[in-house]
Formats: sequence, C-alpha cells, structure tokens
Amino acid sequence: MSDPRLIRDLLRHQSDFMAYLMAMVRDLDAAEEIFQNAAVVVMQYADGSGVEPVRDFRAWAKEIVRRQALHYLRAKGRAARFAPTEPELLEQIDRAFDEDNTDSVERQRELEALKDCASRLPETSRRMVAMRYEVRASFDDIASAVGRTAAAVQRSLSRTRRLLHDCVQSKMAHPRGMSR
Amino acid sequence: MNLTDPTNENSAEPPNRELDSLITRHLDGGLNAAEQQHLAERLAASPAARRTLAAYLRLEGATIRLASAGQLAKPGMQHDPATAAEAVPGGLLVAARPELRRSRSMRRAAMAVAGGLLAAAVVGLLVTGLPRNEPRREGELDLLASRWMKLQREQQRDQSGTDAETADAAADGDDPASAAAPPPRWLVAALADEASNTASPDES
Repeated sequence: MSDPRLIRDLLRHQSDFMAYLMAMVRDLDAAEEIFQNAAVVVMQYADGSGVEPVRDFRAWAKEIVRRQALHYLRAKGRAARFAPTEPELLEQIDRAFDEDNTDSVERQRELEALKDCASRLPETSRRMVAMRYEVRASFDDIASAVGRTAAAVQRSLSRTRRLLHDCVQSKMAHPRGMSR
Repeated sequence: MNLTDPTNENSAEPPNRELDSLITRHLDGGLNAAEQQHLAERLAASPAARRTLAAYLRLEGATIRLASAGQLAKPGMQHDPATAAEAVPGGLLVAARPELRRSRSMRRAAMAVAGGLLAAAVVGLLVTGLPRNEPRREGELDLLASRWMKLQREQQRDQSGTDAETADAAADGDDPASAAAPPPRWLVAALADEASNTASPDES
C-alpha cells in the first residue's frame, strides 16, 4: 500500500536537502535534478508493499539523497559545471549535515530573519542574489546584467552570503531586533 | 539601516573570517582542490567549524525557499520572462524554466509537471477550494500527495509502452531514476504553505 507521508516528509525537507546538495555539487540545477531523482526513489519505496516504517526520516532520506548525488557526480565527471568536490570535503559536509539538529521552529525563525536581512541588502546585491536563486542565472549572465565581471560577481555573492549569515545569526541571538 | 555594500571590493572585513570565506567561496564554486582540502581539514578538526558550515547550509536552504516563493526580489523587479511563474488554478505556482527542457530526463520532468498541473486543477476543484493562505488539513495534503503518486504511476506505465526514448535511455545507460518525474511545484508550494501555517516541529 502506498504511503504518501514519505513524499510529504521529503518535500517538507526539500530546502534542507537542496542546501546539502548545493554544498556537494554547487549547481542549483544539478541539485534539483538529484533531488528529483531521490524523490523518485522515495516514491518507489513508499509505493512498495510491506514497507518497513522509517524511524528517522531525515537520516534515511539523506542517505538516498547522498547516494543519488554521488551517482550524479560519478556520471557527470568532468562535464559538471564546477570542479569536483574533494572526497574529504564531501565527508565533512556530510558530517556537518548529520550533526545539525536544528529544529523546524528555529529554522522558521531563521527564515523570518533572512527575509528581513535580505530586505536590507543594497539593491544591486539583492538583485544579484535574486538572479542567482530565482532565475538560476550564471555568473556571466549576472555580470552582464549588473555591468561587472563574472569573477567580481562571484566574489560579491560570497560576501553577500557572509553578510546575510552574520545578520541572521545576530537576529537569532537578539530576537527583539527581529521585524515581524 | 542597510547592510554593508558587499559589491564594494574595498570594504574592510574582519580578519578572523577565513573559515566563512572558505565556506561561502566553496558554495559559489570558487575553491580549487588545495583550498577544498584546507577547508576539509578545518572542518575535521573543529566541531565549531562544522556548526558554522551547518549554519551556512541552513541559510542556503532558507534562501532557496525564499527564492521558490519569489520573495528575494522586490515587487516589480524585472525578471527574465522565460522564468516567469505561471499561475494555475488554486493559486499554486509552477515555474516554466527552459533549462527543464534541456535534457531527456528534464523533458520528461516537464511532461510530468504538465500532468501535475492537470491533477492540481482537478484536485484543486475537489479539495482546495480554499484561499491560498488558509491552512489546509493534513488529510487534504495526503490526498494531494497520493494523487500525484498515482499520476506518476500512470505516466510511467504509459511511457513504458509508448515512449521510444525510454529504450534509448536504457541503451545510453541513464540512471533509471532520472527517467521519472520530479515532484510538481504545486505540491511543494502546498507543503511549504502548510509548514508556514503550522508550528509542529516534526523535523528531526
């Protein structure tokens, strides 16, 4: 008998797994493709007869996502958009993900904080972030749009991440400053 | 008050931010092999460093989530028309991105999303005649997920009999999983809505 709860749980964790995949492959389109492949595996499991109940969904699904990512990395090889991630770094990304036990309430608070922090970004920075994540534009395309070099865009986006991280962490540490 | 302008290459940065810099540059694909090794060593040696990486991963996930909801750009900002989201019955959204049609598996994905839209329209009429922000009950989302799975099974059955590309894919050694379809965005949007409207900490 099919169990839609597994699919539902997977989709609830989608952004969590997408971030994990981004750290592995550093390509949003690739991360989405891998996540979709993992969703199919979960769906097939959920669709099977006499399936064992999943005790720790996040750990169980993460292993499926990880295997799909490794399969993708092996299949793509040098054709991938970015240089391969070193195996030692993949291992540490995995470890950091496994050790993170931040609950959904805190994640929701971080999301609210990020909304506020993103609204405070300078217009050009916000535009670059939006192009990168909403439009999935390449660094070259963003560079053309904002009149900078691709390398400058890459550096600027990395700095923007740090600013947003600091801003969110500051708001989490001082919740009174959070706007609702 | 606005955040410091990160596009200013000359703006000062605290000196102890090497770890942050390595992590953010990695996420943007800017680290070479030696720098990746260095980052891996720092992470292996320090639980605090791994917590920092985990915080950046949560930030990445939250950014992706905001982007999926179209909440990163200001209203009225110009976007590439090819990426504009199309509204479907029930107020749920699906993106019509040309990249999804690049590869064989992505073409199948686009077909499935189209099928998902059809299912969303039907299920939307049957189940979700609710305003977009009104919380949905759990059973309704289970029904949505169930309908989607049924649709996928039907599509896979249809494709196995008629789609010559399936045989091509097998001959090419494609991963079988890539021949199937992605979860439609209307379902993701519904679940995201529900997650926002309920505070049940069911994540581990």
